[in-house]
Amino acid sequence: MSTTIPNRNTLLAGFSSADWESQRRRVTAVLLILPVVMMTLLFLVPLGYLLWLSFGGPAGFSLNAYKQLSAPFYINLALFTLQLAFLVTIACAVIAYPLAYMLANIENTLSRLVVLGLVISLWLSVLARTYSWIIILQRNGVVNNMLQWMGITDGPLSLVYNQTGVYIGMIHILLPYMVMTLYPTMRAIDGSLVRSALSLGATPWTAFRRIYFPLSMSGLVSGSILVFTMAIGFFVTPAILGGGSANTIVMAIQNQVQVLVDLPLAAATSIILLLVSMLILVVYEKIAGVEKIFGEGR
Amino acid sequence: MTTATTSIAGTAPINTRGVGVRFEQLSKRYGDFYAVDSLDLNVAPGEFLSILGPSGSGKTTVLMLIAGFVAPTSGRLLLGDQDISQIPPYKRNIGVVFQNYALFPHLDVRRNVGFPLEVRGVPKDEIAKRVNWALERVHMEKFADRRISQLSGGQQQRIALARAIVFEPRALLMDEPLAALDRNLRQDMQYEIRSLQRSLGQTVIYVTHDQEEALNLSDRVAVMNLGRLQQVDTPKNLYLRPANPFVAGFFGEANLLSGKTQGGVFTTDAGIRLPVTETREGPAVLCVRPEMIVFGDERKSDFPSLTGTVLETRYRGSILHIELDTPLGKINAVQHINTTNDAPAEGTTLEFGWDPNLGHVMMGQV
Amino acid sequence: MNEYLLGLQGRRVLFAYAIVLILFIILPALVLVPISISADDSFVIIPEAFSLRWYEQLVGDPRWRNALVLSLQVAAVASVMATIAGVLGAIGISRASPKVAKVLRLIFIAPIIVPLMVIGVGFYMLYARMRLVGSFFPLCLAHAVLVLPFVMLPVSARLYSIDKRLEWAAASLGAGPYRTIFRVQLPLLAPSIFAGFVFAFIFSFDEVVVAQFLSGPRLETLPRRMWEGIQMGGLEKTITAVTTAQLLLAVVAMLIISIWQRRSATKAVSSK
Repeated sequence: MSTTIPNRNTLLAGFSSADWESQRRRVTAVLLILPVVMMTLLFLVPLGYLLWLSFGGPAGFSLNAYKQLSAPFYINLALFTLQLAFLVTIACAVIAYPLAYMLANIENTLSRLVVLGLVISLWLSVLARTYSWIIILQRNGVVNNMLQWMGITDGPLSLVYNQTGVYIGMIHILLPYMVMTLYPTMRAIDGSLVRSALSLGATPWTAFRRIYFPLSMSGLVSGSILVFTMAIGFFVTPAILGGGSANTIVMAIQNQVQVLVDLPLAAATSIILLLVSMLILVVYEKIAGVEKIFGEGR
Repeated sequence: MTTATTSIAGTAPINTRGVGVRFEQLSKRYGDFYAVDSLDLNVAPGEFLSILGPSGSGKTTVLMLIAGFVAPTSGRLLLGDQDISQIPPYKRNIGVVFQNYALFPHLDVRRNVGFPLEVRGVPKDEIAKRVNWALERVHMEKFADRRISQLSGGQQQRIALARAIVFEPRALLMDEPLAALDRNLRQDMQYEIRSLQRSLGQTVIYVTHDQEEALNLSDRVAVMNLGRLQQVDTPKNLYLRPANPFVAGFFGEANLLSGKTQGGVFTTDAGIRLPVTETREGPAVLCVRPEMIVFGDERKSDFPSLTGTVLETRYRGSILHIELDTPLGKINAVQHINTTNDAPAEGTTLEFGWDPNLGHVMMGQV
Repeated sequence: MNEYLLGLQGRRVLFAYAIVLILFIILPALVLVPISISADDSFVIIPEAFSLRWYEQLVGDPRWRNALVLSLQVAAVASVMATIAGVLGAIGISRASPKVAKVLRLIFIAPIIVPLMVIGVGFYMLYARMRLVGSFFPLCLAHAVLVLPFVMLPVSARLYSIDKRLEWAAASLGAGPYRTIFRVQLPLLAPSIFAGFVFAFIFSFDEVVVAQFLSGPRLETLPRRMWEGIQMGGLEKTITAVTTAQLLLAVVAMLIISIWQRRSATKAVSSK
């Protein structure tokens, strides 16, 4: 195509230290050494060790632990965990949707207060919030006192140390994540689309159903995936507020380690849970792109 | 050109004069695609040269090659007599003004302008003096303590200029520096940039897609298309003596007739013979600018005599645009409007021609 | 106001809904504060007498105090390590090729997706084999990995909004690659680095699942101490003092961050 004079650039392409792009790549590699080593040694290695243990570890290869997990007890436990996570996710989506809609479309003091409340809630210790719910929901707690004082109930309702408490606590803790994921999606919806739908004669309900809701769907999906994943792995809240009535997989793992001291079994259970969460992460990556979590490409 | 060196009280004189930039067979290839193909170009010291081209012409790659963010696949790039194709950007000493100014938002004006001196380890008191000098050159000395966010677009542009000249760069490189400004401000800044460049004696390579800007500012303009240099010449010659149909069409309107030329006669593909001043022989394209076309009695005896039917007439401000259907094909003509002429009615037959001295033959271009 | 779907009536309903939800959202925080400063042992919301005795106990009782100090130490060491690694990682990912960046993002985000219990068990078994359970530094290392994403997320988001041309500008002005990072990128990232550090600190300070595995009898973090208190069923009021103090710290840190980010946001907007 053209006569080109080769120069030192081409001759020394691999060795050239001056080339900006390759120098930049080298600097990038230097920057990444520490974090990558850290993640490898302190994240991938422990999980790899877990994988090895789950297949028998030092005692030699065995599928024993996984066989134990097929017992009805663990199947039921898994089903309950999924059900709990699923219901919490649905509840969060339903509760969060109108709230996120308000934050995205109405700028007033109330919206700012909601954001403030959500942020404070996000920042407040999970342990603290869970503990607080005990105080609020217990037999002589705020809610029961209020209900009786208003004459709605005669005696105290049992709201905590059962599944009701677990649901309330988990929804409370996971709701901010749902709102925070929905908000940017709704914020990005072009308002003129809804306006033009209305001007074309659509009723508000039709405009919502046909235009707004489909456009907000991606946020709803990624928020649900996020909340569902977190709900599956939740420990503190169901353990404390459930009072033994809401046993999940992660509580079983703790039991296997600390009470049964069956390490291969605990390792196998952990690996299953790990696979489930990695699967969800990959699905999330396919649907929404992990870079969204990193604030890129918004 | 006035002052090439300026002295500031108590500091070494600042050498503001630029050096030449030479491209020798410079190419950048991505796979099979040549973003820049065998570029040969010589920019004289103190020259203002624009690199002009549509998007995808390779002008941005040339910019990145000069700044050092892209390494050439082959060829050499010389700054003065030094080959800089191996030198990383931060050792090139070329002042770059970026399209969006790229001022550091976390530093105030003074620290932005002082940045290149700070990283070079210049002592503090001298930095202060040089920063003041640079800010004076762009008439921004009163804004030294402002934050960047407090400045308008035009002011940011000036600060970016000051930052690019403060460290005695050997040449200045500008990437569409005025693209973000509105029209009036852009014209003021064009004048400012030109007078700053002249007073410093600095070499400027100015990359733009805006023909008017390039023609206004430059000593010479390098026109690029599809990775290749099409022509380097003065603004006047680019218009009157374009090297090829692309350049002819890029600067204003042109009637392009293909054919061949021999012995002062250009024969179009359709066999029409037209007088030209070109003495060479061979296939060629004849370029006739619309404003060269004259009608009726204005023609002189040596002009070609042709007739055409008016297809359409349009007023564009002070100019009347006439589209003719002629044996040569469609011909565009423009006339300056005065009180005596009226637009000819559509369908009117007009006699027209042009001065053979003005018609420009582009050899070998078919 | 960018709202067209709800009428006036609908908007009123939405506002009422929002008020109810605000109450739901901040109720736990609201309840803790008055209880923590009430003098008596009961858990009434409106205390009759005020006292700081629960806070005094937090500092005075050796077991509480040791737990508090240990947790502060662990959180500080872990979040400093996570901040260094997280900032390096975020900058590295922003410069890496899209394919590499994609894989790295998946790995670096994983600690907040994988259940804590799984990570905790993994560390516990590995540390048990290496006889590291119950030691300070290994616990910090584990926490550092857990909180790494909390640093990377805000820093990555901020990096994405910084104009790439600033790096070019710095290079053209004579700053080498490392100097560009120190003189241009890090100052621009400072608010988000601080935010990430605070997120990391708070999370580590609050973390109980991994800590309960890795802390031995002589290494009891505050959340573990609280956890035990709550597990016993006894509602120790010192816990309310801890959580109120945490709340206060979080709010202060949040204010600092939001003011800082607002200031630097106005700075950054002009550069785009």
